[in-house]
Amino acid sequence: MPHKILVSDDSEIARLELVRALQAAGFDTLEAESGDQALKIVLAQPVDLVITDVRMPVMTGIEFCEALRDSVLVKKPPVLVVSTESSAELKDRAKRAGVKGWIIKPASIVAVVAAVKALIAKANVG
Amino acid sequence: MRVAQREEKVLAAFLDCVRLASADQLAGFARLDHVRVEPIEGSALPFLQQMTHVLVTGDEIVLNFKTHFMFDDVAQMALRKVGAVLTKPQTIDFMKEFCNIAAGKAKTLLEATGMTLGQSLPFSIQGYNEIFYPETVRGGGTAAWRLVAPDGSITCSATVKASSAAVIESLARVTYSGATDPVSGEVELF
Repeated sequence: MPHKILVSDDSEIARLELVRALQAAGFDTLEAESGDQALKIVLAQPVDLVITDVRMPVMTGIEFCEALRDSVLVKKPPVLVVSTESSAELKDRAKRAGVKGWIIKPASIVAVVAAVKALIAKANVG
Repeated sequence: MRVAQREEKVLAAFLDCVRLASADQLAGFARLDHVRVEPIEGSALPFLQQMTHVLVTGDEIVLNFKTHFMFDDVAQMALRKVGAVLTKPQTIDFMKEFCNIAAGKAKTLLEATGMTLGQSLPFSIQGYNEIFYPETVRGGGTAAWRLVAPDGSITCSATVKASSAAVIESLARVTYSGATDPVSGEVELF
């Protein structure tokens, strides 16, 4: 059964390219336009990994990660941040919220798919 | 060198970094092999219908980064990334995301000097005809340039305003290493 990846970004174009590449690599995909939408999805159904932007309306990607960390969900999916942000302070906050990887935009799609595969493999071993 | 001349030179050098970075960011974002930067002279200011806009702000500095474009130019430019002709809402989304990425890069360059900054979400204005002010912004500077790809071009402009001469001087520490810049696309697994 294919792994399910949730792509959370307020940009439709950013989601479109990622979703297309992930589907071509054999993953199932879900989409969210903001952190709060992403949170509703992961709390409602099993998701194997979340890719999230940081700056989004309503709830940012980091706030989503913190809400996910603090949620009652027993098996929390690994989160990969794909963002223009690169400050050490924000990365530290993300790490404390359980983020497992960080890629700076504009990112190579090949690199994102490789990171997704690596994080899923690591989660399945752990 | 007089103080005003020195400040003007530092601001121009900083805006050059933003300009060069925007070209590399567009190439990376739109999956283009090459993007050329062309200057825009004051006498040939663009008259373009769409605009996207991001603010990068801190206690000491405000950077206003904008793109100006026509739908057809961007639809062609986005073909390689998207694989289809964009609808008008998708074209605006494409340019909002580029604006976000280019301004984000400028923010990263500024943060490297120790500044603490925030960045707005990108927003767009339809039917907005940008008016450029060629006069020097007091305590800051402004620049406009065209980014030319094989299938289309867009215009960018940036205005930076600093709270003091000391902050302007700190902009002298901003550097951009061009295509060899190691940050964009960097992958870090924790």
